[in-house]
Amino acid sequence: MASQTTKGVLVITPDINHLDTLSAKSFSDEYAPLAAGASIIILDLSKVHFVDSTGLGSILTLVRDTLARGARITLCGAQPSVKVLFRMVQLGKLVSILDTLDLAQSWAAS
Amino acid sequence: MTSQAIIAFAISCAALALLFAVLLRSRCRDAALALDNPEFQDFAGSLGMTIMVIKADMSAILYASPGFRALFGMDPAEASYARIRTLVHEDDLEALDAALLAGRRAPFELEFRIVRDGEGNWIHMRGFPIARRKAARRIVLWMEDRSRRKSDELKLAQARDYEVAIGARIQQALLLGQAERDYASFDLASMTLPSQKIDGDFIDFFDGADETLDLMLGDVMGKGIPAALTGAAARNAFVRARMSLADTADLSAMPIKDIVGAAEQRIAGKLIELKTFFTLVYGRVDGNAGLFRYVDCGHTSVIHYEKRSGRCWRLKGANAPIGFLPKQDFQEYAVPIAKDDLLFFYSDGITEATDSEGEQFGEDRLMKLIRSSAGLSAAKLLEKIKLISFAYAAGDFKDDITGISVKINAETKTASSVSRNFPQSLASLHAIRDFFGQCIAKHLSGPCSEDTREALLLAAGEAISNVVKHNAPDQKHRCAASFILTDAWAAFTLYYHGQDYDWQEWTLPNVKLFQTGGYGLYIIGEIMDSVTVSRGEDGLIRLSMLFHLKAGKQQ
Repeated sequence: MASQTTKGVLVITPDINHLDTLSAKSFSDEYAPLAAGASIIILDLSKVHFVDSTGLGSILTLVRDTLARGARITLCGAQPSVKVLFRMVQLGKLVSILDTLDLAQSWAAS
Repeated sequence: MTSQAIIAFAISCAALALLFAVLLRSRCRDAALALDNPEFQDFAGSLGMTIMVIKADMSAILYASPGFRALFGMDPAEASYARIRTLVHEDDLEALDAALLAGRRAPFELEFRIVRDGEGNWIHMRGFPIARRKAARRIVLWMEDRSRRKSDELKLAQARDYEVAIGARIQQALLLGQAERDYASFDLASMTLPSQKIDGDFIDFFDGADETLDLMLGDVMGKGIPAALTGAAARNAFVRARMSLADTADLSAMPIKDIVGAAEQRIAGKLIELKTFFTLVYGRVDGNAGLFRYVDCGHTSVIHYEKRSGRCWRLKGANAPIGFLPKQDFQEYAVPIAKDDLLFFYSDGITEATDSEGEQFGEDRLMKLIRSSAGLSAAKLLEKIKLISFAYAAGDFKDDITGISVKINAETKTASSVSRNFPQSLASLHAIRDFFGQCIAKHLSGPCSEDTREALLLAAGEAISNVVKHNAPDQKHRCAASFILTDAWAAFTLYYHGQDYDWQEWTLPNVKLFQTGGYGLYIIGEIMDSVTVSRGEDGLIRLSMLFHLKAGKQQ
């Protein structure tokens, strides 16, 4: 999993094609230590082409844990199939979902 | 058992006990039979039955109680078995001889007729063998004139036959509709066998446009005239609801759940008031489009024999019987049907028919019967089911036997029909999803938007994930994935071995509460137009997801 911290903003870019039943646990195991100390997190999903309900659960856990400790988080770069899922479960009511990493970085700077 | 019967039974037991005591005493003394015991004779004389003791080879009557004379019209001193036989009805002689022969070794019971002065009397006889040391066996016979009771039973049976005949006519006239015509795309047959009491099964057929047929089969709670009247009212509610809806809409294009809902509005309130209800399955057969739609309101399954898989499947829904609630939001389901498929609608009278040992005919037996008879026409299948279930229950049905069979004749015009087998394990997750992904990409680019295609793959993926996650890897069996496309619908089907669980319950989990699970079923239910999970035989499950291309949930 790729991650980079620039000016206090942690950008996590999962380098997996599917975030699903098979990969959700390893995704969570990897991001949790990375995210624990960050105050602003961008989850860049541009490389993830498919997220199922189990993968969605792991994203929700990341969002919940981040917001619970008073940090900020946004999602960006979601592929069309992933956007369909987010729209369906109304994830936008909980966390901002931006189209591109640039927009997410602007959000982080604001 | 009435109090009179209980008293009679108690007296009989006492008499027998006394008789056996006397016999035992005589046996111990190895003397002549002590049936001249005054105590016993007084008691035997006071009974409303006749007691005889005969030699087991029927060569002599050793004792006859006072009732003997009235029963056989002869002096006991002059009586013999041969003389008694002359009174016995010729049709019952063989059974009486055989019973007495067997009675040397074991107790027996039978009824036979004697004819005296041109009048017949029914005698109920029980026999008990008595062993004596150094002597031939004896048989104690205990007889009772049951002519009056028999006559009452006969009158009751005649009355019941009359009621059954009237009931059958009421059912035929008020409860059982018939198809108005024949159909080229499917073959149709229906039957009803009335039980001993009038029942509330009702069926009807409604001809639609383009070779479609709506049909329904209902079963009212309870029996008798009230059930029949309720059935007639229910059938009438559907007829009137359809007539009313037809004024403003094309019924053949209308979802059948709306028709059921309109009928429910006409009758549910009355049913609740009367504290009754009925189960129902309302279906629409469209042989040309290759689709069967149904609304199930707590009725027995529709059995679907699917030629493609060579299996029978139970089609069930999730609606409550009509009359449970004032208003329901009915769920409608759809499954693909193809040439040589069979649909069998039935009332629980068939599956609940019991054999002499109390075992029910059951749905599994019915499915095996249908699968093994799938080559028959609709009418011949129905006849076979009728004969076999009738023989199973020895003709003694407690409920009406009602059935409708539909055999599909038309070839469905498919644009694509592919299937592939996979190991049933988590490792197949991506392979099965890729299979559906390729089908979607290849065949649905035209009729569906990109978002719709993505959504369909998402739903298929969730279904696959549910199947491989919730069912143990099965080394013995493989699961199969199938994709069928017509110009009207696309069907994604999974066949697998596993546990049956409720796929019907999907509500949007509350994302604001960070609920991290429970989205899978919601996603499938929201994207697909119909999701049915059907149990087959031997632990097989069929998960069928259907998407309507023209009027479906396009994203």
